[in-house]
Amino acid sequence: MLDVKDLSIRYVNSRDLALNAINFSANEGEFIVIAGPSGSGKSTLAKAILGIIPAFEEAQIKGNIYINNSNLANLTRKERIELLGYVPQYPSDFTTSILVEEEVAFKLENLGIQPEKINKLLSKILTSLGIVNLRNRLITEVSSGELQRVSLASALGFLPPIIILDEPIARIDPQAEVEISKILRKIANNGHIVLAFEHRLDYMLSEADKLIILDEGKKISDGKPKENLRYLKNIDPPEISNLDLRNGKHDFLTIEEALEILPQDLSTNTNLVENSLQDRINKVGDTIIRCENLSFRYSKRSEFVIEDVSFTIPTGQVVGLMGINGSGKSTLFKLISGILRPTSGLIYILDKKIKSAKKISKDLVFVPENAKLFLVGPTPLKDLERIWNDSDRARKFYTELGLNSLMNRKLYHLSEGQRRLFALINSFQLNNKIILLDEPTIALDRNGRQLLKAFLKQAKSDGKIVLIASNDPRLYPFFDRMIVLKDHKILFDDTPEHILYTIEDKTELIPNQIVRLIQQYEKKWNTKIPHFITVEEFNNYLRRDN
Amino acid sequence: MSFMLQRVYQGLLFKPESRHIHPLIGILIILIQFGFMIINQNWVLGLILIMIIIENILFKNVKGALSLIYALLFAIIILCVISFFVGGWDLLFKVLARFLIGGLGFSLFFSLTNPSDLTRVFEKLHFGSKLSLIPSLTLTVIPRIAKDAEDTFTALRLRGELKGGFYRWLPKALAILIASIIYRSEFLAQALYFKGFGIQKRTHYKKVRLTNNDLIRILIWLCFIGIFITIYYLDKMAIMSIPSFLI
Repeated sequence: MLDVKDLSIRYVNSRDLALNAINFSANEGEFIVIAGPSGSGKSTLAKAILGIIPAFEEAQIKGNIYINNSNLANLTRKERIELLGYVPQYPSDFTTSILVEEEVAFKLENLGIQPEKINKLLSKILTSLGIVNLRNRLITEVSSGELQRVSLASALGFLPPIIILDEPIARIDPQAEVEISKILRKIANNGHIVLAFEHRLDYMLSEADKLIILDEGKKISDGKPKENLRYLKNIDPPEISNLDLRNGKHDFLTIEEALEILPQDLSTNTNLVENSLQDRINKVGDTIIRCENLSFRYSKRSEFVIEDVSFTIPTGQVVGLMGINGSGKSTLFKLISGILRPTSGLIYILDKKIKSAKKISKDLVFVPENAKLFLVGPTPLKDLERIWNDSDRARKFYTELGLNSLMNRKLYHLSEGQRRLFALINSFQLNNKIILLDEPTIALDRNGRQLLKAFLKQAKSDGKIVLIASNDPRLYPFFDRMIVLKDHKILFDDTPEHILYTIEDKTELIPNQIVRLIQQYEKKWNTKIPHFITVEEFNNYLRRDN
Repeated sequence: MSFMLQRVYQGLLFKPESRHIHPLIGILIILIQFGFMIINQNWVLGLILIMIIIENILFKNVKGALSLIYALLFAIIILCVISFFVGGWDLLFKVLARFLIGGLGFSLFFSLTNPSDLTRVFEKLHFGSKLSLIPSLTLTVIPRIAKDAEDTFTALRLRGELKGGFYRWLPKALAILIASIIYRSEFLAQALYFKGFGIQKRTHYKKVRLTNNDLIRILIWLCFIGIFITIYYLDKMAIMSIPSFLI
């Protein structure tokens, strides 16, 4: 049993409390989701339970954490490791071996377990997580979802009573999100306490027993997920929970629950979607990016990473670039940026043929997945001052966005989500015509996504184009158009409304929850209703036409 | 820089599907190769180089070997030019051959030797657990740093920050990169902490055994030593008859 009592934490270089009198307990077999916006104290709580604070980060700690009635502060490192399994936010940064099997065995070897027992445990854990086939693969060659499972297997190795996961689904494909949520439920059913610190909750919450919500270091709710959904409304609720039926909100946790309540006689007027689509398609401006029969491979003997890809992107479009890991998204970004030269085919930017990144740096900005590499200044404010050469303007800008409390913090004192948010905001201020964003929503909370949405809207009206590589379903409604890559070629290039309703059949990707709901509704009642892609559109339709 | 790191990584990457060689045999062969490199005769260096090239072909490491040479191409060219001006063709050949023997030898060694096996063997030899883990950890970290380097330079270039001479922008780029490396090092330290590294004496879930491949490979090299000694000591005339520019 885990007991957190009156836990308060203040970092050495901070005046504010990162955690303020947190109390909660967890029993065997419980799957608990701990949610909250960026900077709410989720990571601090995880670090305190794990002992990273104070072992790696200095902080003033008040209160206690008990595991099976033993005070965590009095436990030796070995005792703590035997009690706690940890799946970090960045599994790739936590690997210490070359092969999958060795990665899982490493902890067991260090704990002095006998080889025969390690081999038995290895087979058991790898089988239960469905990764036996990966055991002799190189860690660098497995996908993000597979790596998440490897990391989970490593944490589960000694069968510790408590498993702690820091944003376990932030970096994985949506299909793996569903699978990992189910795996965590299964682990809890086997008697482990599972604590998942996460704000991507579409599929995880329905599997959890308890939801704890943190905000500004305080616990604002603790109870069954369904009963506490209202506290999540301004934080990060599952998309389906925002469904608003005629007879009031229902706080649905699953698509199946919503499907039960939806009436059979919904309007079949599909023009509702087609009209808005035509409006969008007709608003096509001058071509900014033109790719013609683009192919790329690293050497003559290697396989093509991009094969015969052609598309044009006009002004004012937000384009989603999708595809599972290894489908060629990052390579396409590098080709457009001029970092790589195509093996064959041509790329034109503003009607100029791209020869090198140097020539197009005035037109293009790129924010990598590791967003901290984008920020040059020591603080977000200094970074923006570099871009604008105007400190007053930069200060005023951040104050208007409500980010004045964070703008002077050193980059390495910001949370992952906060750093990403500042990198995104500053990238839009560079005044480039083309903005490339690689996985912009990892660790970004709802407020961050709302800000991103506002900047995307502004960029569109300014005639810029934004190309976003992401498989995050929460971003799909932001896209005017989606380009889906499969096996290094373009599989789809169309509007989200047209793609999302077939994507699950033809790729390993899944659509957002509202699309899945409409698909399942049509199947259940053998009918056709408008193919909306946002919950707001669907709510309006329910209110207006039914 | 990122390009170079990635090539180095590819050049030193262990290939799980290849025939494994016992780390001690691998080290022994590397030592033999380095021992021969001391001999300042072109035909010896040439023969060793040919042997290593044949081994790289036989053990299917041509891609890895080329990748490493490609990564070090700039250094190789500089070395060759300097050697040529200092000592003409003779010195150029000697320097180039030694460089290639070292590079290709290491590439083959790492492609056939599981770094974790190396760790296990080092621990058995009482090298200390921390020292023993270095090869394995280095190979896990290189691709991450290479990716960070690539992303840093790409982002900065497209931000328009890489203007002017390299002395202007390099410190900026390195500052970001070094901060990132420190950040990643901290994660690595945490990983070792949570995985109980150094708590007690480590067990090893699998044993590193000698196989026929090891025996064949060491036999080939022992034969080579035998042939060399025979030629060198018993038939000096044979050496004398080799064209003088090769000696």
